[in-house]
Amino acid sequence: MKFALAVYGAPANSQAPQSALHFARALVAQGHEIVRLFFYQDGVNTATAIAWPPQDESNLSEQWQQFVQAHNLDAVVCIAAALRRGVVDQTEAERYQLPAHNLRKGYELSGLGQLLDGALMADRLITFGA
Amino acid sequence: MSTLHTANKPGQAIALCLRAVARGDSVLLIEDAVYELLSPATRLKALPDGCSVYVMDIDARARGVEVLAPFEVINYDRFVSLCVGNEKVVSWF
Repeated sequence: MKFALAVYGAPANSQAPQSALHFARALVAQGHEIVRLFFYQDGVNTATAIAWPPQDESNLSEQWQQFVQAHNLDAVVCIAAALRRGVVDQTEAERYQLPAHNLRKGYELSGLGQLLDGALMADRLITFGA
Repeated sequence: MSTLHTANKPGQAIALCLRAVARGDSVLLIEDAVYELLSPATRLKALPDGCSVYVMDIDARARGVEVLAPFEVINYDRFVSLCVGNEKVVSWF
């Protein structure tokens, strides 16, 4: 079965990215297909490359990136939500003349339409709210 | 057509969820929603016919919440199966 996942919460203040990762791993283990990951609202913070939690805590951003790359997933980060929170790729950093870019490899900045597209492509859309 | 409702916090999220639950639907409590079980007067015990309430095991254990019948503890594999077995999944948060 085809699944799309939406993540609305950030690693530092919500359990959403952790629950979604548990769920995504169970999906893959059962042979289901993940057609779209969509990180929205505070969930965009999952895709920053420069957050570093204390060493005795799990690094969810890193775990998510490894999962995305290992399974070659279509991982979209909402561009409007990301820009306002300082999560940008090189293109956006240049467009707005920002001093740095920090979007992890494996993710793509795009619009909210990709969430709708994911919902249409998938048999089930599962949302992990903040 | 049955629906799986997930809720991730007690209070308003669950109150709104329960307004939408119809016969044959299922409710899954994840994250802080497991605290709903601490309320003796929880409306989860008065759902329409054929409704089941599931509780995510690791979230209940992480919060020291005991899960008693008629509620059923499940893991993420079972969460996936519930998504497959219901035609729709609605998340309340």
